[in-house]
Amino acid sequence: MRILVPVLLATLSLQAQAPHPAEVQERRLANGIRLVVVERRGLDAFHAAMVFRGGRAEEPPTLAGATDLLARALYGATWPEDLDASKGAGSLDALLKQEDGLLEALRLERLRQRKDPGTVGQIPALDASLWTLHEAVRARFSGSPLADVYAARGGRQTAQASADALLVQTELPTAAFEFWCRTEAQRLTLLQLSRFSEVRAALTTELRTQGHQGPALLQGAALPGHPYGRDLADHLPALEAMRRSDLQAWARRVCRPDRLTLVLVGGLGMEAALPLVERHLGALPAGPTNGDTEDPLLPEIPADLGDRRIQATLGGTPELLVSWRIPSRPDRDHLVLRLAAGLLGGGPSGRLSQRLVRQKTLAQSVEVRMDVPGGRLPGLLVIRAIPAEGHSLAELEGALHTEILRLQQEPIPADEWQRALTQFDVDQLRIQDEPAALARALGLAWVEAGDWRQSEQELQRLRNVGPEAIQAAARTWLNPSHRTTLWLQAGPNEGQDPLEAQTARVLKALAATRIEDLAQREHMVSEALRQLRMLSLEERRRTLKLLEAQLAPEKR
Amino acid sequence: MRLLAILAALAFTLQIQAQPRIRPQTFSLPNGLRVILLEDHDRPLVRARLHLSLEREAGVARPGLAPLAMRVLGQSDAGAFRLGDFEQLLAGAGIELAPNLRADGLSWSLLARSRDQDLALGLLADRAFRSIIDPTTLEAERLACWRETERLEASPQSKLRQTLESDWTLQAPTLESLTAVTYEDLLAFFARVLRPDRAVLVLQGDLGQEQAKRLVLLSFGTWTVRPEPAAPTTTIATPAPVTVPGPAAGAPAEARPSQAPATGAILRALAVASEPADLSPEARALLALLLPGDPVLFPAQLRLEGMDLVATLEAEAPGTAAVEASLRERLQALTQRGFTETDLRQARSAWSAGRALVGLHPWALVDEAVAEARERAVSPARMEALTIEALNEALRRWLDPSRLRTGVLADPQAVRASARP
Repeated sequence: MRILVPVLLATLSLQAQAPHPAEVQERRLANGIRLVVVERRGLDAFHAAMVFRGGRAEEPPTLAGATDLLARALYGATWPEDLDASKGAGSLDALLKQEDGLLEALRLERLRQRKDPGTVGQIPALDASLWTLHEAVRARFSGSPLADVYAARGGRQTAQASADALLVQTELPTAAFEFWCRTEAQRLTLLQLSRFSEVRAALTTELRTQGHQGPALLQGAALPGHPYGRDLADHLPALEAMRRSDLQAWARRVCRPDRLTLVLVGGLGMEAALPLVERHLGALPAGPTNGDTEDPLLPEIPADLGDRRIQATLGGTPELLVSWRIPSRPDRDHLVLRLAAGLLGGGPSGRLSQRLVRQKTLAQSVEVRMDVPGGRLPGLLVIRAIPAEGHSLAELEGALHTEILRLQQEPIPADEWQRALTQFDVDQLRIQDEPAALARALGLAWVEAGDWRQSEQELQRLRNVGPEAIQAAARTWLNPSHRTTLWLQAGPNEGQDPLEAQTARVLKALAATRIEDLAQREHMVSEALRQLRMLSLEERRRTLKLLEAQLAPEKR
Repeated sequence: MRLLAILAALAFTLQIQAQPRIRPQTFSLPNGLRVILLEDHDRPLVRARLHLSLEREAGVARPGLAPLAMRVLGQSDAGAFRLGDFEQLLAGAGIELAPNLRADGLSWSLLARSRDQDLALGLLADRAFRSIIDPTTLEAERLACWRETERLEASPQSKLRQTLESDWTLQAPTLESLTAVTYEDLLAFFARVLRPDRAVLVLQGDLGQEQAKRLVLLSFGTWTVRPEPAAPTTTIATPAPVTVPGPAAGAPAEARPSQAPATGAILRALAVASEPADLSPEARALLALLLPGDPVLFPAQLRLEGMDLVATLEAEAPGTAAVEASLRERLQALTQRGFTETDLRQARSAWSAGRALVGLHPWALVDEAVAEARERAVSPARMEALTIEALNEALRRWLDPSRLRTGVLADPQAVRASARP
């Protein structure tokens, strides 16, 4: 009873309110676009979030990276030439089609030369043609500074690809609202993608330079075979083979009106916004009426897949990453796990920082993340810790599991529960106060839970939840059968450990005898390496010997 | 008559719309602390930023001193609270307190529910001028600061960026410069920097003027100028960055090219130009709009990072020197071409329209108030008076080749190849 009173008081003290239904207005346009408006009187500007449901998780393997390319080539900057509908011979569109063909010819020629280095190739000739064509394409681009049409009107736009959605955020003065509606409708109609080749080259270079990353390795092992577990670095050949026409076709499929929610926050009410949105974006053709409008079916992974472990050496400092498969956002336990994550993480006063960094000095830093890589489907709760000097990953892992056990077994003190609730409260208030954060939160609630009212429902649910719910959820979800652990060992800063490098070499040699297509071959090798990382060092050594035995002695 | 009434109503409405949504109210404490209040009762939140200017004085301008001092403050007991209790108090009330260090000063940003404003401002004051500096904390943080500088997981790109930083506050310290910082140096630094007469406090959100005055007086009224300890005897010359091979023969000290190891066949050249101290805020605002995406730079890119212009160029050039030269040539082509009257007009119009966006970001309102107090805010009148000659002169000064610091990320083999005669 003595514990119950402070807990009750803590819950009642929640000050935040999710956006009230009366404050948020929603309309559905005839072509399927959802429009959500939150008016903030007194502002002379608006923040618009365009949220296309889908994202990386819905990309087929042959189009891996398409959402990232759309975020960079379709959005982010708005060039006048991308809004120009000129077609026919000599037009920018015609030149870009030629460029597409030349790039593909060049890619195939390079593959041919890799396969048979002795042949005299056409690469120099193709390179020269491409250079000339690039000059012609660039001559069509605007040659003046401040060419971005939004920047010239005092605005800005950013675009972000995630596992669940493509999120485009724009800010402009209210006076430019109709211009924004017209521009966005033109952009989606034309899908010009004039900077496609530059953007694709930049993305491939970025992925190649950074190589495999710890979190991506962890996701791959924790969610095997699921698009949430996909590492884009494994799909470079597919990315290099993607053509502008492929991306345009994909954009027509995923950037459809019925997959789009527009959230407007700022100095515009529904009565002012709706007619203009209807006039311009409402004129976009609705998606197909057959079954093609349904979301693709994605594989389901049982949460209790079993305890999985990986060891890898990527260079740099050692790190421990532990994850648990958790339910998606609409699940009842999701909110409670969010509180649990806040209690464990939550900055320097969180349990893990206090115990592992301050008291036991086992770790240099600890961070906790929810919904990795997304929250629409079952994802991961990830704890990432860097051991302090003189302490091993095993020591740190042991201490971390002790904290998880404590969370599951010991009652949560009232002050800690109060702190977790307060943090939730402050987060909600801040979201309400910042138009960009509010637009993003409403858009993501729709993507992850199918309804922008999710935040309000979560707050109501929180009022009926007590600290014992955290213990129950921790017992259900943070258990070994849901767990995946990654040990990133310190090592030479070469990006790959010698054992893995040798295994990759042998696998490539084996694959070369069986698979003709180079892209398929590289993908198969990446997949095999990912699976092998889950074995112990000894098992990996034995596997390498078995693989080597299959190679002819001169190729070993 | 009806028409007159309608016109009067319209004029009134326009007048209301033309007024800024939040009127800044200012006051000062007897100790010299200037306070700006941006009152907004829409939501029960309060934001605060305490900004302290960093002067380029002898003895203060030493690489590593400012970041080390900020680290030590963040790990010290404050007022009546031990560090752990201080952090528990912040977390218990959901107060966010974040330090920040920039070339133009150090600051703390605070966010709290308005019902916790007394506690929040009290804790901010504790941290700013009641921190208890312990020599053992200095030793622990010196090590942590060095580890952070030398961190293995940092990308070569960020290491090179840090190496090219020209401002002493953000420059990567060397082990020598960190080791040389004594407890007395630290106390002297705090005495010079943490002064109410050099501070600006901006409060934004759900608190009224009377309440703000009461709270600020209660929390910051006892803040006084500390006497400076005896001048420290150690003097450290600004050292060359540690991860970089020696400067190229004949290159000016401030413009020495550097090369950092990286993997991959693509070379990436980086050029950093710090903002000239006397650049007008108006010219800065317009250049920030005009420079990124200027086609004359293609395929190089230019962006504004804090107070630096950072240009990058990726290429498969024959050697590091060629890529670096190519980037410098592009920047020079830009300064030689300059901007036109049309560009100036467009940029002015974009800046003017973009002012409306400030209302979307409460922290941007706070930034604007800090700039106003430091006389670094853009004035519409001065913006209107800015000529194209003045703008192009500002561009030339900012991208002056003798002030540019450049470097190339390359495969170590490429570095060795380019070093051969």
